[in-house]
Amino acid sequence: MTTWETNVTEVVWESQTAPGITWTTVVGGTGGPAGPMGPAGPAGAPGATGAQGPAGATGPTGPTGPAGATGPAGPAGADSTVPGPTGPQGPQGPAGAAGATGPAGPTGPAGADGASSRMTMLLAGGATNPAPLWEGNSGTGASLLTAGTMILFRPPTVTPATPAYLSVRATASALSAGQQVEVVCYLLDGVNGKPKTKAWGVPITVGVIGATTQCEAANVNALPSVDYVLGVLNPSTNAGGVTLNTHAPAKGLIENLGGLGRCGLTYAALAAAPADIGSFTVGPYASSTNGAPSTFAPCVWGRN
Amino acid sequence: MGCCDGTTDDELVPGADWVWNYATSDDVSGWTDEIVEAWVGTTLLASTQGDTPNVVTDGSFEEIPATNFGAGIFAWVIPSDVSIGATGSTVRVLAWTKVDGVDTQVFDRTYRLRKTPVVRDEEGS
Repeated sequence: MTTWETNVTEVVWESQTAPGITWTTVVGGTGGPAGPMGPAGPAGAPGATGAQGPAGATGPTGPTGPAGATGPAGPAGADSTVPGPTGPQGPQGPAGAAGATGPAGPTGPAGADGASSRMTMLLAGGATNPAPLWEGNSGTGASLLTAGTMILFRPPTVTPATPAYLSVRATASALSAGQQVEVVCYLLDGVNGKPKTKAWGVPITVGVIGATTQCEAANVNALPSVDYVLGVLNPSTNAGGVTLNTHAPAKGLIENLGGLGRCGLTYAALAAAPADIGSFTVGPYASSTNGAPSTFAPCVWGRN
Repeated sequence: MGCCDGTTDDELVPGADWVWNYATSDDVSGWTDEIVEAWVGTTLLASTQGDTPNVVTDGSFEEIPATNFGAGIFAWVIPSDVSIGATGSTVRVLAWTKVDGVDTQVFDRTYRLRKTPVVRDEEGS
């Protein structure tokens, strides 16, 4: 019977400025039996810049000296196109040769018992399952969008620039079959950074009550590279209200989710999302041109 | 910790100090020779290497300690005069160390770069 020994080291780093926030990296590992082939991994990171080559030697009698030595290759990296820095020029000699381009980066991670080094990012506790972002509000934090109501929220930071999925869950609905709500995006390009220009709108047909309706990637537009707000409009032409609720996203890992902020503004009596809301105001009561504060935003988006 | 804490923030502001300060109780005494780089697209923004290394790892920046794997500390800073050069929408921060003599990538995280709206003097007065 053969006994295999492994030497995999998992290191958990904890933030010293935000205790409880951890970063886990797995390094090393030798000797284990080869595991089943894992799925293709993402492209490797760019290689580190090669170390600087030493200076070229001085030419013996003044003619051109030999070139500086090439810097060693950087660590592995895919598609690294940055050469190591050129070695300094020797006295009377030509500049050192360019550093070697880093070798190709590693491909997908090894199987379960694989032996290759790998690196993993985890949230605190290693959570990877989709879950409601605001547990405490599940079932109680519903937001009723009556016909004509549009709610805008400022999303917090999200890593993916283009969400692959944008989900809306209707826990109760008075809409007629086939009627739609619209997810909208406004740029903060108005005076003093106010929302103004409608960048895009994505219609979502509210389906079975209580089910998550998700807008697939082909219909989700890229988030702008400038600041923006997102929102949901239930057009006044619809038959009734739609109740939205916080929920686990239809797809995606929690580390790739963006939640729409809990505070927002609601507008009323809108048949369609205006192309320009730069002149809109804010006050205690919602109208078609005045946003009233809202304390709940019901949507999340996810990405595989 | 104000802006920007790379251990918790997903968004970094160009022109601010970007800090990372980690500690571990695991044994990393075999780690040496760290390399930290920040890339904006295919442009190298900051590095611990080169003629003018501009990532601080020696503890000379405010209260951020020096990297000391023997003590389980891994910390670095990309100061404001370097981060101001970050343009685009994201920045990718990577780190390598030698683990028992073998170069190993140990950190890879992409952050969004925040756009700060302009404030005009004649408005809001």
